[in-house]
Amino acid sequence: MRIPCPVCGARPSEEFTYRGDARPVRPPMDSSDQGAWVDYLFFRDDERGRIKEQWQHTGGCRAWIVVDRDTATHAVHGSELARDAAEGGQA
Amino acid sequence: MADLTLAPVSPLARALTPGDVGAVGPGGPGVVFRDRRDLSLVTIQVRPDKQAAARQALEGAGFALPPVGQAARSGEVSVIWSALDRWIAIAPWAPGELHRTLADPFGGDPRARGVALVDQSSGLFALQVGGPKLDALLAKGTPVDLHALETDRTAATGIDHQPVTLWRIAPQTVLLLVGRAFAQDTLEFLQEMALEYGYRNG
Repeated sequence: MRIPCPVCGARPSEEFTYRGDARPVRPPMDSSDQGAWVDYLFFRDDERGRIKEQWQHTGGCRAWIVVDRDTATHAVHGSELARDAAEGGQA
Repeated sequence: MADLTLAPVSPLARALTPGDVGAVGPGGPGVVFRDRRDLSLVTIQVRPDKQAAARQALEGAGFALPPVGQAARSGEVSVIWSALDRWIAIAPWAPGELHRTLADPFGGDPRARGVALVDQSSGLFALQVGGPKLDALLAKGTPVDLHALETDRTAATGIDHQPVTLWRIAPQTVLLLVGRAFAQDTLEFLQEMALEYGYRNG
């Protein structure tokens, strides 16, 4: 599988480290809502199809990126820097 | 009292003993390895929102922060791109001199300008690899497109699962930067892969 790093260009997946689903948003740090924290820390949907995932280009430029990947076909539809995604409110 | 001063030792002191090894043909070795302990290395990491100012300050002193995947030479000092928001300055200077030279344009206090300068001369190791079989050798260990890695292009990638920075300093020569603790491992991998071309430890 090749992953398009927004900085370095297309590289093989061995250069990257997988973190997981990019969509869960951390509850506010002062929140004491146990349910929200349990959801955020432990539960993922394991969807079939296109999802946004966080990867780090550990064997390259070290950037955190958000990859739009199909979990059924492994087709990669695009990527962006995680900091850009965060500014856009998507990650 | 015993003198306990420790002299700096290359991590390759045992692995890079001078001589020719492997299938060296009449045309000479296909690959030449050279220990570049003479180089000072300083990483330059700049906060994204401070890069325009940092660029301007460094340009005033004659240095550039090159775009992704490129190197910029200025006299004896080269600055190469190495990672997101990070560059490495390289010069054959005495320890400490390069760091001082780079800190000067920031009034001696780069941190106040969102710039981190770290002397990595002991943390990173510079191995020079050259020879007519250079690209064939690198292709065995790294996934980057070596045709696109032209002279004064750089790539952050991996060799034998170790993160390395490659800078092609001449058509048949690269400078390979690797963490000091991994230097011997990386060299031994490259040496084994170079046996079929014959290599020289220079």
